[in-house]
Amino acid sequence: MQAIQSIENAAMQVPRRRSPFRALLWKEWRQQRWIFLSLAGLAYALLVAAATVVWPDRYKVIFENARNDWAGLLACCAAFFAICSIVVLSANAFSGERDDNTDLFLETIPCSRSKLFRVKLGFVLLLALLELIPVGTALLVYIGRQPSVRLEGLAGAAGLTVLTLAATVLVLVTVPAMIASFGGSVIATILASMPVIVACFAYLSLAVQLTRFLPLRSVMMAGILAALFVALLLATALLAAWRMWIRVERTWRHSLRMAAALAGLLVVYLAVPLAGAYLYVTLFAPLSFFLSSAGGFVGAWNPPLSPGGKCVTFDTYYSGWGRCTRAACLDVDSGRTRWLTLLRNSFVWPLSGIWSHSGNQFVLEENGQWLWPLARETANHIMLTYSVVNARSGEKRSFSELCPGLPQMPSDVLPLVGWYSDQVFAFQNGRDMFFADIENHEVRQCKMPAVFPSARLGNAFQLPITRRGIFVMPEDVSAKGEVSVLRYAPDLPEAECLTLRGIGGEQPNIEASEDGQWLLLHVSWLEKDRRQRSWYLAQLADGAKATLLVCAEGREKSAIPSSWQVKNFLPGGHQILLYRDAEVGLFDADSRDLRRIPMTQASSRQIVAVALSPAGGFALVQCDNPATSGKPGAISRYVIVDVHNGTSLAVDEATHEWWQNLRWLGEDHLLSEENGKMPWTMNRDGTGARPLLAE
Amino acid sequence: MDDAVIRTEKLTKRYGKQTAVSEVSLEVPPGKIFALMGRNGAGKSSLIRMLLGLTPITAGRATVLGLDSAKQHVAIRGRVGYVPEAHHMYRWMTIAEVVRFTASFYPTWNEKSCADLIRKFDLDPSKRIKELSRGMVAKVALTLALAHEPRLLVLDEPTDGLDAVVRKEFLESIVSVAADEGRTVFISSHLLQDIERVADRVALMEESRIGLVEDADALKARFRELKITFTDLPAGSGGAPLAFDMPGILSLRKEPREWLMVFEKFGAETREQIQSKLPGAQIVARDMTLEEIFLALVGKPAIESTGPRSPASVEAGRSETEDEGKRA
Repeated sequence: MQAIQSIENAAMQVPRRRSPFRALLWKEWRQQRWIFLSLAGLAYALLVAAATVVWPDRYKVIFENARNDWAGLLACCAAFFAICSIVVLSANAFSGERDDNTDLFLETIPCSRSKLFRVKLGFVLLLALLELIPVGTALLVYIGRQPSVRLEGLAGAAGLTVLTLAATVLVLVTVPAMIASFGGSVIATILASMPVIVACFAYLSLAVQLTRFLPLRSVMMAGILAALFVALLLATALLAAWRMWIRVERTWRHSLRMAAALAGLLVVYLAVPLAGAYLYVTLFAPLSFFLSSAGGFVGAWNPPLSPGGKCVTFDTYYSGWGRCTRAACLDVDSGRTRWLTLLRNSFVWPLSGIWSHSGNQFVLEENGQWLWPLARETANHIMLTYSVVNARSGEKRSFSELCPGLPQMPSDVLPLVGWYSDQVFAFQNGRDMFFADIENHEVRQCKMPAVFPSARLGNAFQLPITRRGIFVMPEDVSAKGEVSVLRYAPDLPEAECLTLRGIGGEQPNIEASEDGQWLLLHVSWLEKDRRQRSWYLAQLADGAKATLLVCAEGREKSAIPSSWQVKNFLPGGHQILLYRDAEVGLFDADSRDLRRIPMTQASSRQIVAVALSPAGGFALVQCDNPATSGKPGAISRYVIVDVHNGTSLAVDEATHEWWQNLRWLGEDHLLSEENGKMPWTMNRDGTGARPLLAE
Repeated sequence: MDDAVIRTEKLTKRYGKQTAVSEVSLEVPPGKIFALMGRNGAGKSSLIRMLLGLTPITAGRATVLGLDSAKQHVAIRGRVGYVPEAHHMYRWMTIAEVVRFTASFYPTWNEKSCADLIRKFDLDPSKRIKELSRGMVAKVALTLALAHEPRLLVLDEPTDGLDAVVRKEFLESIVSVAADEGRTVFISSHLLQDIERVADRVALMEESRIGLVEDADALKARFRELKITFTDLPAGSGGAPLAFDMPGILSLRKEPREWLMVFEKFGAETREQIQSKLPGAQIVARDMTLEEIFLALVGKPAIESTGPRSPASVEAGRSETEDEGKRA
């Protein structure tokens, strides 16, 4: 009687009913919990071990400074186990019922296969996220912390990280679900899923690779198309898995049809945006204007000016939703602005680049080099470069990818040196120089002499490019009192070495006349805790010989009085511009004559800087303003000097009270900029001041 | 208004080139215990699975409780108590957990009825499924099928694999808790002695088709087995007559001095006709079980002259049929 009573009590003690959703979730958890806890526990243990290696002091930021590769190895193991456990969980959720025959019980309850699929999928996704979010984030943080690894588009962008995570989870969960629908066992599902998952990741990596290639790259980098792409893949995978799962019976014909449809869709997903983007940037570029965001500001820090002063390139930056930058070219005369549409969503801020000699083309750098013919609104990708650094050895390997149809460059070419001529680019890879002809796609290599086995070119940006070649002083090869200068030229298989003896000072910097006959060497040295500066002039002769001709400061025999500061060569000649105190002079290297330029309206104050006009006819002299001299925040005064007849004219501050950072804009105009505000321009005589861009 | 609880119209199921169910048209009246007889592989389970929407219908139409099997199968399963051929509940669950899990899917779940059933079947809710005998698991399945108070109970080979005692107990349970409450029971089995105990109406399924549908009592009344004994051999034959034919004979097994004959629509006139053709023969008629009728109907050839069919040969024939069914 007591037994019957206890049975009755037990029967009546059945707890209140749950919703079908909760009941199914409860069942899944009871079925999967030990697998999940054991595998996830292993992943977390590895992660903790990785953290312990790099995080002995518990209050330091995790992975901030990776001690060594053990951390990376352990973190990779953690990620590996997390990935494996997700596959196992998914296979077990979708195939395990068949192994136990409980699917026959499950199908008898009034619950659609669609709901079962949703619950199982949601459950596995939840567990997968529980595993992957910390492990994946830690791994991404670790990778992102590696010095010199260019992951600003990955680790720095939370959106892209989420996309990566979503794509990974999507593949790991849905592939076993699809395989399971064929009715295999858990083991068979896991084994069959492996190659399919590898294929999926290969597909995703192919998609990523394609984004590095024109024309998808710029739009993909913005994240919008990438997000759409991943969302499309997500929807397709979910739909395919759902369709396969809810189908009770299947024939081989149906399976093949489904596989073919999936493969076709995946191909279409890549082909359509690729074709669309190609058409967009080649035919329908103005579409971007309809999509452009309002607002933003102009980035006008030192905007590149075309040689003739006809154009100014600048960039705009919009920091709101859909943060983007755009490169633009402003025609000074017409005021018309042309936007570079290809790089619309790329990060080209602040803009840097080099105009061609004719002013018809512009090379800009934005994660690689781009050639922008001013007649068009799109740029050609010259090459994309990236580098990877081995964290342990410090070894750096550089790679580049070129677009077809453009000069094929060696794979380790890195920085752009500049325009050698109007159609020949110069690149360097640390030792050798490459001259790429953009017309006939011919590339010529000029090597560094073998006598300098360990020499490097260093930061070779803005080297003196002359008609005789490009002059470079390689690092760490000059002995005391002498300087080695290399002349790279397209017609030389090996750079010509010139040795200049009798050079004092350190950190020499060189300039050259346009014809490459004269070199100007700026040197400095430390004397009584003050850095002293001086300069040398050297005449170059054929046959790789150089003659040190002039030395300033009286340390060597010199034809020029000391204390003259040198500026640079006048364009097309051998005259150099000098200034000291309140004087400006021209020194002719050939005749060794120094001609002082009388300054009719110049300030008697100290001259602090001089800039020559592009054609060399005028000098822009910056000097102390007598009206404000000595006051805090004193404004310099600008004087325009005709270098041929000495006529000088002070720029009237009244026209624009905050003129500063004046630069030449062609021969007839000046450009004023202030902390990135919109540039103003005025005529050479100081009149006609106006903003270049309308507000 | 459609009175039939189950109605099929030319219901067909094919697996590739194999036809499991061929153009079955059937009506199951309410409040009856309807038995679907047939050998293994005859298509009974496929028919039931189609009715409940567990497998797609190839052709034809089926309605259960007025709901379309192809489109409203989830609703059908919510209103029908279904006990499948094999009971594959989660072995790690306790009975209480299975009950609680299953109850979540039935809005009409009756906790009191469930508790009554558990008590009636003497089930211990704290026991896990893996600890139960097959008979107990079958009772759990029946509890789950009945606790939501369905109007229709579908049992697919429910006693298969159970021993005779448990089978009897199980069938009695069905009669008591299902049929007595006015539910319709649709039961399929190849164990005809089980069906015979409970069925009101029977259908015979053979080679994917329905052979006959009839009330069980009428069916049993229609068939008789005649035992004809030849005490005095017919004159001039040297033994039993070599040829004998009459309308209504389903099967005839000849032995030298005794014939066993299954006769359809046997009556007094038939007896006289046989007697006139076989003078001197002693004719004894007896009622047949459903199993005997079934064997007579499907056990071809109908007339054997090589002696009695041994049980072993009958079993061998059945096994062959089962194998063919499984392959299909």
